Amino acid sequence: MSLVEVDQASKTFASRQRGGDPVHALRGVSLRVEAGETLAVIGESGSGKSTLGRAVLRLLDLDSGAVRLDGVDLAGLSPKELRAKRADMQIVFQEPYESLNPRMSIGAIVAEPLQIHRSELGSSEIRTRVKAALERVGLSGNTASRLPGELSGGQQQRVGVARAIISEPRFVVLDEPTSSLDLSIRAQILALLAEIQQDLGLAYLFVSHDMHTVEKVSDRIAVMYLGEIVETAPTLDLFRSPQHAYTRTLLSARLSADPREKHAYRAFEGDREVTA
Amino acid sequence: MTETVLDVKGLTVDIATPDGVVHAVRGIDLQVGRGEILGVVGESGCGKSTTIKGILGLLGPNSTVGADHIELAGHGDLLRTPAKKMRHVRGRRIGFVAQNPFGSLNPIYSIERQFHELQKAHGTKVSKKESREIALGMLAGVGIVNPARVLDGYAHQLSGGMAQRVVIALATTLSPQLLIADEPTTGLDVTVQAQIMDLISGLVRSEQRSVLLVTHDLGVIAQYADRVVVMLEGKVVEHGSVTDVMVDPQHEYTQKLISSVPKREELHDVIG
Repeated sequence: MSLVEVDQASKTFASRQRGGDPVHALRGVSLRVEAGETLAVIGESGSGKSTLGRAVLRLLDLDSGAVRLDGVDLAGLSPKELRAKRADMQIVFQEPYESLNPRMSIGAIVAEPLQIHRSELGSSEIRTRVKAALERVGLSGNTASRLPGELSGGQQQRVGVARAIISEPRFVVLDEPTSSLDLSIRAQILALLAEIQQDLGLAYLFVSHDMHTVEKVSDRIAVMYLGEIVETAPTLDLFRSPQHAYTRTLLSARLSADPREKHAYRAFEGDREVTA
Repeated sequence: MTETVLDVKGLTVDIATPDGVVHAVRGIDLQVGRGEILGVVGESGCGKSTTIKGILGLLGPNSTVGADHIELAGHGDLLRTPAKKMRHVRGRRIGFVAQNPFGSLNPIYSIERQFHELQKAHGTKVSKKESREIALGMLAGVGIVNPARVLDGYAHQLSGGMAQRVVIALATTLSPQLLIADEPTTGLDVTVQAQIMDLISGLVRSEQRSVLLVTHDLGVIAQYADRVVVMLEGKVVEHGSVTDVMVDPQHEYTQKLISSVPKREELHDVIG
C-alpha cells in the first residue's frame, strides 16, 4: 500500500461563461506517492495540476474516483474524522503573502494547526513548538511577533513551510512553492524543503510548471495535459527518454541557462496556441 | 557591434520616498546595436525595470532621471526630449512590451480600435479601413491564425499568449527601430514562452530591429540574447557577450546567479 493513492479521479467544473463548455479539470487521474518520496506533477495552465493538488487533500470533492491516505478513503470520512486526518496532510501555497492572514502575527499563524490538531497542548508548549518550527525553517524565534507584511517573500514562504510542518504531517502538497520567488531565494527554499524532507521523512506532491525545478527536486514526475496524466516516470528516465509527444514538447521548451546548449522548440500537434 | 541604436551613458534614477531618497539606478551604461538583442538580467529590486522606465520617460514626478546622454539613433537625446515629444517617440521609434499583456490592452475597446487609436495618436492619417488592413497583416505576422476574429474581439477573450502576441503586433505596427520588452514571457506557459521569444527574435533577425530585453530568466537570456548586462543594486556588475558571461562569469554575483538552481546532488548539502 502506498502512502497516497489516487484512483481514476475525475472533476468537471461548469464553464464560467454562459453556455460555455464544462471544463474537465481531471479525467480519470491515477497516481501513487510513496512515503518519503517526491512526486512532481508538471503541466501548464489549465492542465488540472492544481485541481489535482487540492483534490488529493480533499480541499475539493471529486465527481468520481477515490483518494486514499494510508488506505483510508478520504471521501468516506466524516467532517470530524477528515479534520483529524488533516494533521497528516498539509499544503504550501504558491503565493506566500496571499496565503498568510495579514492581521495575524507570524506566531499565531504557525500556532494555528497545533491549536486545531493538538488542542491538548498548553500555551507555553505551543509557544515552544512554534519557536522550534520557525528556527527549523531558518527564521529567528522572535519573528513570531511580526506581521506577514514585515517579511520578505522568501521569509514569508518559510513561514508557510513552518505552518505546514508543525502538525508533523507525513504528506505535504507543494503547490508551486517557489514560482513567485527570485532565483537565489528559490534555491534556498528548495534546499530547505529537501532538508526537511530528509529529516522528517516527508512525502511531497510537488505541483509545478517549471521543468528546471522539478528536475532538481523530484524522484518521479507525472506529466499532465488537459486533465490527464500522459506519462509518469522516474525523473532521470523522463528527461532521457520522454515517451509522450507532449512531454517532448515541454522538454523542448526548456531554455537552458547555458548558451552552448541550443534549444529548438518543437510544437505539439495538440497545442492550444497553434490550433487557436 | 555594427551601428548603435541606443546609447545610454551614466543613467541615474533617484526616487523620493517618505523615508528619504532611494538611488534606484546608480550610473548605468548600455548600448544596443542594430539587429541585436541586449539582455538585462537581475533579481527583484535591482533597478532593471526602473532603468527602462527612465529611458522611456515613464517615471512619475517623484523620480529624478539623470544621465550624460540617452542617445537614440535618428532622433537625439531622449533625456533632453520634452515630455510631449516623448509620446511620439514611444510607439513610433520605440515599441514597448510589458510583462502583463492585459495591463497593456484596453479592456473596453475592441482590438481593432486599439490599432486605430495607435495610428491616430501618432497622426499617421491612416483611415480606419487602412488601419484594419495593416492590423490584419500585423496579427498574421505574429502567428495569429484568425486575425479578423481577434480584431473584432476584446482582450478578455484572449489567452495570455495570444494577448502578448497582440501587444507585440501593436508595439511593432509603426516599425520602431527599437523594441523594449520588460519580462515579456514571465507568467506565460513554457511552451508559449518559447513561441513568443521565437517571434521576438525572428523580428530582430528578419528586419534588423533591435531589442532591449529585461528579464530575470537566465534561460531566456542564454537562448535569445546576443549580449547581456547583469544588474545588482542599481549598478551593472558585469556585461559582455552571452557566451562569455553565462559560460565563464567573472563577477561573484553573476556566478551565484547562474549556480542558483542547485544541482540535484548538491541540494541535500546546501544549508537552507
